[in-house]
This record gives sequence, C-alpha cells and structure tokens, in this order.
Amino acid sequence: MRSETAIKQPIMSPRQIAIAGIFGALAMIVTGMGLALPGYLPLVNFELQGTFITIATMAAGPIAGIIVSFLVSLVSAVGVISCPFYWPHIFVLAAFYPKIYEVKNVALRFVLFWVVSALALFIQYWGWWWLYAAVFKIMTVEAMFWYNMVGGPYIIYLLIWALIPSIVLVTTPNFVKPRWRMPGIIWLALISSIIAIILGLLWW
Amino acid sequence: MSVISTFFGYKPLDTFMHRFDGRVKFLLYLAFVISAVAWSDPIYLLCLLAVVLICGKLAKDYFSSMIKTILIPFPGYIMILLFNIFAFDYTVKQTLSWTPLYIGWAIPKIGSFGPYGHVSIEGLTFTLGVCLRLGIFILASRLFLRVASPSDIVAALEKLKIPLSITMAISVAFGYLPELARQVSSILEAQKVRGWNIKTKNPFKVAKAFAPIVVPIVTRSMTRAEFIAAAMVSRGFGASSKRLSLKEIKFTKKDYIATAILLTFLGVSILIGIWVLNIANFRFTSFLIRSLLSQRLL
Repeated sequence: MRSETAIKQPIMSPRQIAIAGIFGALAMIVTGMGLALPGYLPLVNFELQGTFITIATMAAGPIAGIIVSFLVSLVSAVGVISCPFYWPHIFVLAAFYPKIYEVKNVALRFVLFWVVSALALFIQYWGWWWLYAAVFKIMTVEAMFWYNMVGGPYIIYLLIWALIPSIVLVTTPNFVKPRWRMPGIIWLALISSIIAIILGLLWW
Repeated sequence: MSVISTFFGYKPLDTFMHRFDGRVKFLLYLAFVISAVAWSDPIYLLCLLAVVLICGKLAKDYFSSMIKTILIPFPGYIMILLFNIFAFDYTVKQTLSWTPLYIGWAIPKIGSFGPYGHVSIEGLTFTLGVCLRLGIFILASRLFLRVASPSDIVAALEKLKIPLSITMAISVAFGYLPELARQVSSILEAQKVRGWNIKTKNPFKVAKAFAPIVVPIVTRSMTRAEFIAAAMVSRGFGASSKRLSLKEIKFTKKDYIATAILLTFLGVSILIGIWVLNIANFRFTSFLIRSLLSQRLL
C-alpha cells in the first residue's frame, strides 16, 4: 500500500513573505519617525505609508498589502482599527494589477497603473470619510468629499500612493512582477468597494 | 530593544498587565475600542477612560505621560468642537426627542453679519463624548503596545491560527526594524550632508523634496527583500509542515478569568451601545445637565 504525504502549500512564497515583512517594517519606521508631508489639515500630515502598501501589493499580492497595513496601523495614533480602511485600495489594485502588468506598451502600462490607483484611492477614501464623519465627527462626508476632491489632498495622496510605485513599475518591472495568485480577488475588490462607498454615502 | 521601544513604546516589565497572554491583551484593546465606538455618552466614556488609565497604571505607566498622550491630538479636539458647534443642528439634532437647550452663539450678530454657531448643552455634551472617544482610542493603543511585545503579537497571532506565512512576515518586519531604522537614519543623514532640506510648506514641493529620501529607501529595501527571500529558501522554509515555536504561550487561569470578564464586558457594552439598546447615548448626560440646570433655576 502506498502512503502519500500531503504537503500543505503555504499561502505566500518566501519572496512574498520577505517583501511584506521588509515593506511593513519600512512603513512602520517612516510612520513612527513622523516622515510625512505637511498641510492636510492643521497639524495633520499626509503620511507616506501608501507608497509601501502599494509596492508590497504589486510585488507580493494583496495579503502582503494587508500585512503592511496591519503593521502600519500598529504605530498609527488610531490603532489597529484603522487597518481595514486600507483594504478596498489593496483589493482594487490587486484585481487589476496583473492585467496592467501584462500590457506590453510601457507608456500605456504606466497610464493604466495611474488610472487604477486613482480609482482605488477614490474608493478607499469613502471608508475613511465614514470613519472621520461617523466615529470621530471631525467633518461631514460631504465636506470631506469637496475638500479632498477639489481642495488638492486627493492629488497629493495619489502622488504618495502611485508616484514611486509607478517609477518602480517602469524602471525595475521584474521586482514588481505579479508572481502571486489570489482566487476571488475581483469579488473581494467589488464587495470591499461597495461596503466603503455605501458607508460613506449613508453618512453623506 | 531600544528601537522597538521607540516605535512601539513596549516596556519589558513584569507587571500584572504584562503577564497576560497576548490574546488577552488584544481582547482588552478591542474591548476598549469597540466600547468607545458603541458609546457616545461622556459619563460612560469617562468611566471607560478611567478604566484605561487604571490599566495603564497597572502596567506601571506614568499618569502624566498618559494624559500627555491623550492631549497629543489637541488640534483635532478643537476641530471636533468647531465642527460640532456649527454642524450639530444639521447632523445630530434630529436624533433628539426634545429641543436642545441653547446657551448662546459662537459668533454673535455684528451688524448684518451673523449670528453663527448656535451652542447648545446637547451639542457640547456630544462633542465632549466624541473627544473622549478619540482619547480612549489613542490611550488604548498606547496601553496595548506598552504591554504587548512584538513576540507576544506574533505568538498570539500564531495561536489564533493565523497562517504561518502571515505571522512569519510580521516576524520578519519586527526582526528587521532596528536594521531598517538605522538604514533610514543613515540615508536621511547622508542626504542632509548633501544639503537636503525642506524649506517650503507647499505639499507638492515637499513631495518632490522627499524623492531623494524615499527612492534610496525603496531601492535598498527591494534588494534586502530579495536577500531575505533567498536566505529563507536556502534554509528550507516551508519544507517541514511541523514548526516549533521559540516562545510557547499557554492560557493560564488568570487569562481564562480575564477573557470571561472581557467578553462579558464587551457583550454588555454592545448591548447598551448605539447598535442595540442605545442607553449609553449622549442624551443621558444632556438630560442630567438639563435637569440640574432646571432645578437650580427653580
């Protein structure tokens, strides 16, 4: 009788683990050191963790992005509870990124990456607006919408989330080659986007 | 340990709070945060804040440091106050079954200008509750990071059956914090020697100025990640399905009792919170203040 040993396949490869760990540590250090762009709100800065979450998601998949968001949330003022608000962005980016990477034309790939990042950021925003409007009562969702979308913060956040990752995509594409697979990522992106937008709209 | 302390505020002490299992510490954090979200009444939230402060004292934290931590987002509190002075009538007032007790205007009528910002007892009570909520969030995070070491967090996640790959990634992050912090500091210093400085407050120009810092950090990290991955593969990571833990954690009697208390507290707090019975609502304190004021006036 032949015996077979079933080897359980880990959900992440060593490379994905290393990328998630290193970029997670980096995001924690940058946040902990207070390296941030001033000017979002009085004494509230634009934090840089978006750069590291995006690169980790591109190179190692959405689970790596979630790990980085968890690690960043550990050192943020609000705490671990802020972690899920990054997820719509991570899932939307992860849903489209493998297709974007396959585009042969570098200029088109670059543009498509920015378009998807802009869309993911816009969707992510709704959850944060809900958090600030419903839990912290700092502003209404409507006021946050107009301030962020028209007043300039959206552009700055987009630069944080997409500028350096897009440079990495063009200059060292091999590092950010999507060697990961995430079953059902389209559904995860869709469900998380719907939840974020509905939360925001309910508090409009 | 010093770098870990800098970023996490973890203090390796042997206190009542430190001796709990990592899972209990996380449950304690969640119980504080969820209760703070579920309640909006300042009296309830003040009691909760007192409990967090007591837990902080049990973890040998200084009272003055905890108060300073709560006051860090002071501009945020001012924003919350301003917003609720001007927006309370449009956002929350409709949830009241009575007319708010107005005490004046934030901006009085000057000629044809104003008045704006009708200040009410209910509005101020609600604002106090929201500010306390934010304070509890920050203090609970501080307490959690003070008592839970990085290895506690990883061990707790492993015991919670979080996949090995995820806990391993978190271990790598904690393990490389000191090295990466040194790297980031050296890049910052090297660029400062070359004349790097942020002299503008324009965020677009600041973003451009940050490129010489962020680009080398990212490129070095990419190389480091590849090295670590190669090292993991060469040491046979994932080859064996059986994995031993350096730090084995076990639930003790104290942990079971604490878990039972925390779960009960969490259940009750959700029950009296906004999602179910809505008892811990700011209307409670507003009503008390109105009653006290009316008794004095009589």
